[in-house]
Amino acid sequence: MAQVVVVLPWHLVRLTRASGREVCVEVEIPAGSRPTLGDVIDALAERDPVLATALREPVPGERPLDGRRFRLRPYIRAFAGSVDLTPAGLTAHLPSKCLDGREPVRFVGAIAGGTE
Amino acid sequence: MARVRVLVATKKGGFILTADAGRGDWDITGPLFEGCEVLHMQASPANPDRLYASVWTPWYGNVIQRSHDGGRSWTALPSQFEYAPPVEEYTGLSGQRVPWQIRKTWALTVTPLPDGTERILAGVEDAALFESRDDGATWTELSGLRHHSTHSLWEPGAGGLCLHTILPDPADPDRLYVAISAAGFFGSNDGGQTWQPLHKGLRLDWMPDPNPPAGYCVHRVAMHPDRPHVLFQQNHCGVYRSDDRGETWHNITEGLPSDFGFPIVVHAHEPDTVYVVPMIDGERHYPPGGSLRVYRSRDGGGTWEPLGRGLPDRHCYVNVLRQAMAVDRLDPCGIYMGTTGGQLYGSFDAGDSWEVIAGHLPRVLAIEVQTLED
Repeated sequence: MAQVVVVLPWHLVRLTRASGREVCVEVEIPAGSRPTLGDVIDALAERDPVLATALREPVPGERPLDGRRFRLRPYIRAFAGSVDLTPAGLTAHLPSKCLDGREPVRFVGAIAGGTE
Repeated sequence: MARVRVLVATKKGGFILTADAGRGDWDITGPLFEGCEVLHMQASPANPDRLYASVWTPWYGNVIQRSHDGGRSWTALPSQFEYAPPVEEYTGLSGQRVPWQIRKTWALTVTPLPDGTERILAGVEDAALFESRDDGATWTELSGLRHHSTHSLWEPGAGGLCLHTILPDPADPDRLYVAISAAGFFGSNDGGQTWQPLHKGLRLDWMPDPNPPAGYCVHRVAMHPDRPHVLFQQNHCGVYRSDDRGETWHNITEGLPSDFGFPIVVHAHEPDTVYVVPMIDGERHYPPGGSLRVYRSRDGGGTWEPLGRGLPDRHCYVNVLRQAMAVDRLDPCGIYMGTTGGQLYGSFDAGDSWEVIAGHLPRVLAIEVQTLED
């Protein structure tokens, strides 16, 4: 298991039961591979399902249940240290520096001003 | 001693306003859920301190929040709405095919069940109806609505393909109605399993066929709880009344300055007294002549009178959205109206005169009023 430090956006802390911006979750390390961003959100879901609902959404048009597939919400970006995981989405593998606590996984609300 | 609690959902959070029966001195709490859009706040009829709020941001989507203490503290619910298969596509605003996607919860309704429990219904965008029988912990789609044979004719209005009105019949727990823009008005006699479109007498002015089976832009529907077979509807194309549970509608727009508007409410104690807020037309959502007026009919839509004492006479270009008008149950009946300019108006003499309760709120999206007995 890896202890992954997750940094949440301020809004999400207020919306959920998170006690602060930094949350530590246990993520299983698959044999011969590395955990993904989706695994981190699964671990967050065990802590508080609202966190997962706020960070990912069902892929439109996909059927749920066994064929369920999620994607990162459109205005959410994810970083491992300074590496942008957003393009690869939930399938992005975490770098080793996130698995030994040297760097956090950081979720950021995309800058999207201009509305009311 | 009775009190009033007004739940105001706005573009920038929720607000709770309370006053005693005199309704002269208001205490304002908020904003709740700062930085988030609150689409609707609703209360349990059985336990008035149990409140629900639909909270949304473009970033984190839709979260239902619940309070058990009248709004002092809130808990986010893991409200994962998922459509029941099949999940197909609908025709978007530009005519393109769009996959159904859960976006926002527009409407929450809490109804008591015969066994003493409560049922929460949630109307979402893209249009679907969900129910929870465990206080919001889990939700199940009543998919007979979205799978209705007319669904290929459903198209979004400018606000999205939203289910915005849920009207349970207080006399029959198996009967309920929903309104969807722009799909229409649908009724169910079996608790939401199967649905019938209720469009006879309505018209779609802008379409080649003005009387299709579905696709109507129903803005809001209201009923008086003591006379649930009579329904009043503000449609994109006029104001209508039905005396037979929506089976047939007749146009009661005559006497109004416009056929366009969003909200419609019924007086708490007079089932034939109805209120609307006409806007100039569907392209210019502001009051005719820049003069904000509520129109009241005391004969069920036969005649209308403008009510403007205390409302702006000129240079007023706000709108009143479909869910932003509500009544209390005190006597005289209080009428509440929130504008897109952030004014919350109240009338405590059934509409004869109006005053500003709060003048500078964010854009008001929805209002619910609780009349509380201590």
